[in-house]
Amino acid sequence: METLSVFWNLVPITLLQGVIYGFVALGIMVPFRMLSFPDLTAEGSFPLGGAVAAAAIAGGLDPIPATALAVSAGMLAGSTTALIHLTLKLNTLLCGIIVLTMLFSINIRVMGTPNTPLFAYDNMFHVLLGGAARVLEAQIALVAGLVLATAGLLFAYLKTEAGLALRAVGANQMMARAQGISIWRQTVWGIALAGGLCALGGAIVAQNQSFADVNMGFGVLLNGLAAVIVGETLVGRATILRQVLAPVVGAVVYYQAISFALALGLAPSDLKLLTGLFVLLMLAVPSIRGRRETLRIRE
Amino acid sequence: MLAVEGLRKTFNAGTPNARVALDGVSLTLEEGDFAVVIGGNGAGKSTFLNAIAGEVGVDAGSIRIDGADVTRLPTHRRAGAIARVFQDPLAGTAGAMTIEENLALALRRGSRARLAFALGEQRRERFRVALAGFGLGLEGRLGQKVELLSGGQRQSLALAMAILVAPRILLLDEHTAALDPKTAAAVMAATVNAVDSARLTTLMVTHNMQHAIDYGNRLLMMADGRIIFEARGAEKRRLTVEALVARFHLTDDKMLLA
Ligand SMILES: Nc1ncnc2c1ncn2[C@@H]1O[C@H](COP(=O)(O)OP(=O)(O)OP(=O)(O)O)[C@@H](O)[C@H]1O
Ligand SMILES: [Mg+2]
Repeated sequence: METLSVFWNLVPITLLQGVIYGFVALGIMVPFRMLSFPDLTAEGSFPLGGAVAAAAIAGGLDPIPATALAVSAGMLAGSTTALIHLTLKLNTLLCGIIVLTMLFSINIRVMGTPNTPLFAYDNMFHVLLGGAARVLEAQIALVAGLVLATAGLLFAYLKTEAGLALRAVGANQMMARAQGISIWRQTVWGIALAGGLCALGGAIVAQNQSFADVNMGFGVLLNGLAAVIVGETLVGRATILRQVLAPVVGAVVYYQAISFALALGLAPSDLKLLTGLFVLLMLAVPSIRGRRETLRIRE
Repeated sequence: MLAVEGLRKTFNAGTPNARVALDGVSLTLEEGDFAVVIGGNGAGKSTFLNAIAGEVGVDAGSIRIDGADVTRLPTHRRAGAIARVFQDPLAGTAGAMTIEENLALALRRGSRARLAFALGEQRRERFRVALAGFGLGLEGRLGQKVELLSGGQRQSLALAMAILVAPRILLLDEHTAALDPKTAAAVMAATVNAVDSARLTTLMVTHNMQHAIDYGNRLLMMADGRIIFEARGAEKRRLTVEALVARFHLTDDKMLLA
């Protein structure tokens, strides 16, 4: 079977892609699931992370501080979305669209050009893996370790008093206020954290492919959302541990599924349509089910 | 303890829909006072409690707690002093979180959340003790999500959360109104028990005249955004449901002449 062998040969490179996008999926899960704040900023903070990391590395900064800078930029982008929502009381989706659109211009400003090649520079893989920097298996192990460590830290955080405060804001704002929790503080911090995670994903992608492009964010939100949904279907979301593992597992599985679809001969340009339909279907299932239940009750 | 002076609040001021909800309300509660608030629909009772809690900003007047002016403070910065139980059992608890997580939030009400694990065996033991008194078996279900609980169980949890750490002021807004009679009686008994044993300074809104007569050392009646009648001490003890009804021509359906 040629299809299978094509797919099989792509498994490792797709696995790397999957674990990298695990950061983005985590950054999408936090606003949607922890804060009940549907946020689209990912679409802008992801390329922002790539742009900032690339510009910094090309400007002579070491890859690790450059990556940290990218994360800070993503956090700033997230805070901006949150603050627009909190001050102007605009719909969160609209706030996200405004910020991600503005980020397109900012990303070009940051890089000075629409794309920045990094082939001439050492990147985080060189720093962290040394001689094994170009070994795919080593790259996978490194990023998988990083994303699992991040998920672990997030899990631990969500179990602290501070993490409970964050989740309370997503669960019941009236109750959160009555318990002395600042909606503003938790929302800004949570959306900033999400922006930082998405930017980290962008920074790693840029360094892995050795260039950053202003268009690299296109469709990343829907991909991330699809990954979260796949993960939640497989892992569930009944506990915080599952909720935190789901995006990572989901990203890995989702990108393998995409790769399989491509191996079957699907045109890459049709992927966005399919991903959109998939997300739509998954979102429709519970609401269709819900409708049936209410019908049954009425009978 | 609580000193409220000349509170005024008009909703939708300057529009055809303007509603005067508070029209100069003043009230001083001494430490340990248990004041019951009655009054018809739209009298301003909930707005009064919301103003004290910080959920509703007032147009004029002042609110002091233990001498500190909190009039302009947002809800979350008053929460250290104030605990609330709402009419809606869904309002006071976080359904997506577990029973023990809700209690852990209540344990730290008003203090800064720390970067320390919220739950430990010691805390769980404290929560079990706090819940056991309700006799609902909730102490054995600490790890379950609150959305799995019935309305009465959820309201009992909300009350347990409110009194877990004694608040300076306890605000109860028809907190048994949404429950079936048996559960309502149990939650009310638990409330009175907690208020009496910890001598909590309490403001309780009710439409149940019998409760208004039976409980508390002060009775306030509100109408049109004002406190129009108050009885305390011996005078309150002499009041009867019939006397109240006769005196104020109460015809409101919601006034349960239980
Ligand atoms: N958020 C709001 N916006 C506009 N008007 C409001 C708002 N909240 C209350 N009101 C109005 O203020 C007045 C007082 O309402 P409030 O809820 O305080 O009455 P209440 O005494 O608690 O009544 P009930 O016994 O029905 O609970 C009413 O006329 C009400 O319509
Ligand atoms: Mg009311």
